[in-house]
Amino acid sequence: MQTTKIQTKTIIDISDLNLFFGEKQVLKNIGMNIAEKMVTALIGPSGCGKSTLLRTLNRMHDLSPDAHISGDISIDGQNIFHKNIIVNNLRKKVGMVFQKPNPFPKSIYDNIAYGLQINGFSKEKIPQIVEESLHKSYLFEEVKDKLHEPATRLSGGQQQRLCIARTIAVKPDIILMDEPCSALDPLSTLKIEELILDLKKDYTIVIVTHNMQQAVRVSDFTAFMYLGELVEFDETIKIFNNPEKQLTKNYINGHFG
Amino acid sequence: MTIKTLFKENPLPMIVLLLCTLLVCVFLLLILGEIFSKGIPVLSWAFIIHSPENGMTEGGILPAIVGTLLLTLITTLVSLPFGIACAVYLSEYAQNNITTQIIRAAIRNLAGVPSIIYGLFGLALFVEVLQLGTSILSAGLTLGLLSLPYIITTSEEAMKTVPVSMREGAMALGATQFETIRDIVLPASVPGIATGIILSLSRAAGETAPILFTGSAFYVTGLPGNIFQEFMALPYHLYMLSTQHQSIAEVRPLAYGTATVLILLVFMLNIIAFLIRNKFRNKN
Ligand SMILES: Nc1ncnc2c1ncn2[C@@H]1O[C@H](COP(=O)(O)OP(=O)(O)O)[C@@H](O)[C@H]1O
Ligand SMILES: [Mg+2]
Repeated sequence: MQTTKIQTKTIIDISDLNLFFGEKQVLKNIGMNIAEKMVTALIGPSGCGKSTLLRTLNRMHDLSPDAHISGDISIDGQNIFHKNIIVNNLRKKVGMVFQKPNPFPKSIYDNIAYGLQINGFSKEKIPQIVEESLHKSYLFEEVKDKLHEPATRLSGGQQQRLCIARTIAVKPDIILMDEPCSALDPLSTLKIEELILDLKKDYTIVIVTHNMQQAVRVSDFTAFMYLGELVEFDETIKIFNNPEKQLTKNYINGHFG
Repeated sequence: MTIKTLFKENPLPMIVLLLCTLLVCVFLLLILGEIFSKGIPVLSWAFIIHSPENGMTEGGILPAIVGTLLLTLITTLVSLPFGIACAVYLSEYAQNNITTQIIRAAIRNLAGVPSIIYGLFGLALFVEVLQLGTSILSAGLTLGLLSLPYIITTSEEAMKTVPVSMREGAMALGATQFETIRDIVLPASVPGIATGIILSLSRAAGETAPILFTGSAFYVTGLPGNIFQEFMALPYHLYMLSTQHQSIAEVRPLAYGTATVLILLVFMLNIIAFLIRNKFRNKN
């Protein structure tokens, strides 16, 4: 991993990744190694391909017929595009939190239990895992008396923490987050950032953010993307204090985007 | 902007639109008023729980009520599973290509085919070719076909309103496409699907033309015993009493009574649809 001082182990290895939507190339020759149990931030002006890159990691593009991908992504040394990969198992291992909180129209409890049921967790263990996940996402105290009320009655920030809770409940190795705070107020944002710092003890986190202070606050590594290319990827401290590329410098100083 | 300020700014369009709306309501009320005023006096327990007597000039309409209920049940059993299966396919599995668009267009057009055509088709296919005879089954299958396009279209629309983000949420947890449909998409579209089904069933329950050749009879002694026999049904009974009976004047009150029962049945179905929608809306 470049000239890093942090000792890390690669968990996601991306090389020569190209992605087209129809004729339009959205990702160009991306290569990067994402470190285990670290927080990696993806930054860049909107439309540069951050979400698209993130969604290749759990093969979310399988759902769009006009997406064409070439190149390799290995997770734990396994090529995720290999024909033997069962995509549902991959997605259990690589969880995802979306830009807008998207709880299911079910109760708070069932929102978390659902992922456990479909992934074959034993019935007796489910209540306990639900509770643990709510604790881990700092939500338990706020919802312990209304576990069986509809999740849609929660505030936006609580909904997002619920989505994080349901993601960690199925025990993924990696959590992808696509601007998880962009729909939230500052206080809820702060809570989620604390949560991210806490989660990185156990999980590898890749987070897309348009908020550079957020990248500084939560991430160990930062990748700067521009027009589908990975411009610079390094330790967050390095990117924000002493970037190699002029383009990166301009972006973090707010000269465009 | 409140209605008052809108009205002050430019009263004319609002007045014209309001008058049009009122006109429609007036006709509806006239029809209902006419039927109920002459039909309700005829209604009694006896009218509901007895068979017609004396060449239809006396007695009740129990066989026709039971016939219509049975018929609607068969229509439901036919159209519900196929309708939902077809809607799931179109909404969730079908690629958006020419074939799918042709299928969709065909279904929309089927919804516009006159019901008498369904009747003749049912006669040809179920009664003749499949040898089911003129029977509740043939008529129910015919009405099932008639209801399908409407059920498919409304169910598909209900499923399409489930946001992509909800499906992605389930898939991101490792749900397969089938699990996502079963656990997320279908439950979320129950209100829309149920409404569409019940409304199309209430329309089917009132149809005469499709059952004319496929199984309904002027008079059958006793209640229907099995689904392979001819049957009496409310709309057909009404049609007969109003146009085909030799002493039309004498049976006129009975015709009004039958019309009232039919309308009340359809109202009941609509109220059920309304309750289902409300129940699910409040849950979320
Ligand atoms: N499903 C899609 N079909 C076609 N084009 C898409 C699709 N998703 C994203 N794009 C395009 O890809 C580019 C990158 O989008 P995205 O990854 O969402 O950017 P970012 O997250 O960095 O703002 C944009 O130009 C966008 O219009
Ligand atoms: Mg994005």
